[in-house]
Amino acid sequence: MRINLDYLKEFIDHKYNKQDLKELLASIGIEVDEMIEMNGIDVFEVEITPNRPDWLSHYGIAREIHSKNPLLSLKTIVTNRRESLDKNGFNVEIRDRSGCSRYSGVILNNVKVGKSSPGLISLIESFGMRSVNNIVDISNLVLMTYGHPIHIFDLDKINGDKITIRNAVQDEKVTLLDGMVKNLNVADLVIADDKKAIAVAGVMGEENSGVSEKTTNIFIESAWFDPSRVRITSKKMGMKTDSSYLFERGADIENTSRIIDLTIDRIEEELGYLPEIIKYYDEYPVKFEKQIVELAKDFPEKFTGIKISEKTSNEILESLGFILKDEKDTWKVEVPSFRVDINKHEDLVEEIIRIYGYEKLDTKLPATAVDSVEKYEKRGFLDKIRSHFTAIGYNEVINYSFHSLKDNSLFGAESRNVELRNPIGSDYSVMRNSLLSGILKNTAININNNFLRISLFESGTAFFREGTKLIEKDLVCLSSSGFETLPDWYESKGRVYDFFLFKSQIFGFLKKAGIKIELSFEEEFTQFLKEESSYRISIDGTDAGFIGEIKSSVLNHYKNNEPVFVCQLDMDLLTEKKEEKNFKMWNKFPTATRDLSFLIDREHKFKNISETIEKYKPEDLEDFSLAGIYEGKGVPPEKISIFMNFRYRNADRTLTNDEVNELHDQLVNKLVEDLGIIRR
Amino acid sequence: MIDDLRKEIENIKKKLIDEIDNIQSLEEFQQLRDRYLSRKKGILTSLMTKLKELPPTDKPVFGNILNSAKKFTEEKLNEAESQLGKKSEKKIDGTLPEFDTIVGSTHLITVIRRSIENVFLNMGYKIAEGPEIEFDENNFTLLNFKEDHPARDEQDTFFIKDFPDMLLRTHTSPVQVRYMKNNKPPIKIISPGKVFRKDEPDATHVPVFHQIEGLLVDKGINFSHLKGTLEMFLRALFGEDTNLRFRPGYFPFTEPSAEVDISCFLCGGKDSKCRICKGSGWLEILGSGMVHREVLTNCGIDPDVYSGFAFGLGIERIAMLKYGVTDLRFLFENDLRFNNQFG
Repeated sequence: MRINLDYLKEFIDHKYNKQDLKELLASIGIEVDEMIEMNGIDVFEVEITPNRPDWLSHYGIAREIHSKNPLLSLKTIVTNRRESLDKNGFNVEIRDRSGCSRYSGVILNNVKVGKSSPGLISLIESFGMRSVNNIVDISNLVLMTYGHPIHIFDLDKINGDKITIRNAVQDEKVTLLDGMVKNLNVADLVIADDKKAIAVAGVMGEENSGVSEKTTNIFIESAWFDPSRVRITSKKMGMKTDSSYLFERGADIENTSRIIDLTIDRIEEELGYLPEIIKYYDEYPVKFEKQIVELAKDFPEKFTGIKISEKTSNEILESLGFILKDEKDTWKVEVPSFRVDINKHEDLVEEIIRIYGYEKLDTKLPATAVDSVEKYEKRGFLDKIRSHFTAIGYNEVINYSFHSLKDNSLFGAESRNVELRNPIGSDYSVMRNSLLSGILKNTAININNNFLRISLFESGTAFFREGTKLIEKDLVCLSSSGFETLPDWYESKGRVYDFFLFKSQIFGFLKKAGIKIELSFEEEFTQFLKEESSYRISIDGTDAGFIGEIKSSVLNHYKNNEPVFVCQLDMDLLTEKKEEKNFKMWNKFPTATRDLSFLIDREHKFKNISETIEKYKPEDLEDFSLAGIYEGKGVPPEKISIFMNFRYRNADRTLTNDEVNELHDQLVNKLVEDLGIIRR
Repeated sequence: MIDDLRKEIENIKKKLIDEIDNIQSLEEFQQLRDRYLSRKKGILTSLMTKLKELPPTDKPVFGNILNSAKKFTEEKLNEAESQLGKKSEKKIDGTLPEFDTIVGSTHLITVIRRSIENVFLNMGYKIAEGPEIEFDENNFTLLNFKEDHPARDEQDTFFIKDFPDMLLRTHTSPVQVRYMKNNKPPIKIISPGKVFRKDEPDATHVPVFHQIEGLLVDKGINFSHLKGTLEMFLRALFGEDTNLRFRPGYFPFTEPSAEVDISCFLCGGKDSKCRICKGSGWLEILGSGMVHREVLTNCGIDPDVYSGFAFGLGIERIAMLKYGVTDLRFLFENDLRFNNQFG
């Protein structure tokens, strides 16, 4: 809302410069967003919080400044009801008393509609509004001055002899002042004449019923409409007007009739003569009930933690328009009708401390202690992942949690999509079902920026629909593309990521954390992974995620053609499966190493070999490893040559050469039997 | 005869020096040492055989001459060996540049989030987390955002299709609601996490961002406890000289509410063109207040027995203020030119 500082002075006689005034307003909760100068007048753009509709006017602001500094003189608004001719006009009937609890108005004849006076135009423009004509401008001036919306009809456009405030009928149509045709329903409240709706209550008037240059007789409406009814209608219609803005926050029901008088004053002033006052209206079916809040006299101190004297509390509340009745240890506080936000004792404490000054609050520390300690297993493990992978060159990324439908279709089934009802655009229309899309986008951007080493990771949530349930999964996703070690003077070729390097980094970490992983080819992941490296990772038989190389059709979508290796894992499962380490005494006896070189059919994966070894593994076989692979010259094309090391050791004694040979030969024989290996 | 021997020994010494000068490698040196000093065939050692041939009076003289010659030879050879050793040691140039050390980066959001969490963990707060898709009830209704109240407009909300009561949480306050419903006071928690508001991305808005909110509920908690707690926290984050300014504010879930500003850590209000405070000397940093009695009641806590305070701040805002990030979108683009600067 805009505050014209010159105009404000008509209501409060203050000597603050604009900077000090800004500070003063901030100290009581009115934030000045912008200080503007318009035609030599200082104007403040202020932000009014939704709980304080009583601040949405110059008088409201002046009243608040006065409570902060009661020494300043605040203009008393005097209203006087002028004589009316009390001729028969029409009748007003309120059919929905909760929607419209008060309806005041007046009929004026012989009103000369025309251009506003320069003074009025300048005022209206300083409010950031456009001058229309003198009568419309006055309705805006009254709103900006006293904070109550009024609506002015051209009396001669009203059909019949009755104005009804009623619910709209289903599909009732109304053409508004701005030319838009709106469809109404029973939830909407309208002002209607005998034939049709002439206004949507508290929102906007109908096209033909408004004041024009030809108007001579007018009907001024000053009403109170239910805030939530106005809000529902204005929101549904997509129409936010100055009027609906105020009504939906709560207008002062006690003020409607006085507003009529104040409006007549302004019209007289602007026209230079008093139009004929034909008839006043004031239907007030649901009377305002005075709100009384009980405030214990020691509560302000209890709740703020600072000493505030009873006298101070009393004075502040009275300066804000509250009426206090002293009842020994408490006050019975009567809330003024314009304070729609006050209904409990905390509200009153806020008023007291707000005016007393937030700067007077003390700084104390609560003595609250808690009696248990959290372990934060997942958080701790995530930190470990983070520190490990950043130390070996990975960059943490954070992406939006939104995907396009296309992104989601690359990584999962459409039926499991969690869609937004009101996305900001098609690129962000569903909740992500994977962390891959973000990481692949990030990779492509960095390749474009000529980064040669792009290793990324993100931890975050992915979202799935499972029937009528929504599932959130905490995931961690890692990726690598390009170099692991850049070529330089030290290592002229560098080291480029391939599947094995990537896998070794991740599995090495998991192994150290005591997580036992199994890898199996998975058809499902070939949706986005290359056929030859599409693996499911399982931990104790439970799906934990996948590892592989992104296939080219998916890379194309992200406008990239460099290989990207990815791994995505379930954080909850990792946290659950990581192991606490216990000390184990190492074996002090010497190991006996045996080598084995053999040919095997290509169709066998290394996994078959290691599983077969595990199957027949003698107790004294401590471990075994792959030492080399050879194919090519001297090896038949259908075979591959493998070189392995086996380490034997007994926990209690040194094994003899013969014992080791026997164990090893037995194992090798099993490999020959089961896998058909040929020793070389 | 002794004189001849003396002459011969002198010649041997001269020859030794010549030969030492010509040595190139440790192998040659070893051969040389053997040739002169080897026990069986060394030139000097074999001269010992001459001792028998000498008359008794000359024997000790020759013994002396021979010993000193041996000593001389040893010294020369040792000297030569050490010089040769120095020559053959491989020398490095320590000023060659370090090669790429492959260190990645933690995201700035994580860096800030962790630093804030650590302050509160030190102060005895627990970390509570919750889902990002929330019930309307937890995100709004129980937090005293009345149905059809304009306060709901202030937080433009994403809704989930086909799930009319579900939305993307607009703040992490629903985590506090869940915690209060499931735990009895005293409650002392912070709730960090992602939140969502329907804003088109621009330099100062992103539709996904991060918040940390705090909540303390106990008997006898007052507004000055809030100020003391926030002062301690903000000084830990921005420096011991930081001053606080409390201003009245409005949040549906707190009453009274306070907007909190900190004194500008860059210029202290002295620079009228200051990049961050624009000369005002103050920076808006967080929102806070005493937990609204309605909220306590909604969560099963008796507001006449307990009171509490709550506060919340945006991590992205700290990134802008403290780290000088000029465009919030940088935080989500993951351009390594940005990410590599932090963590």
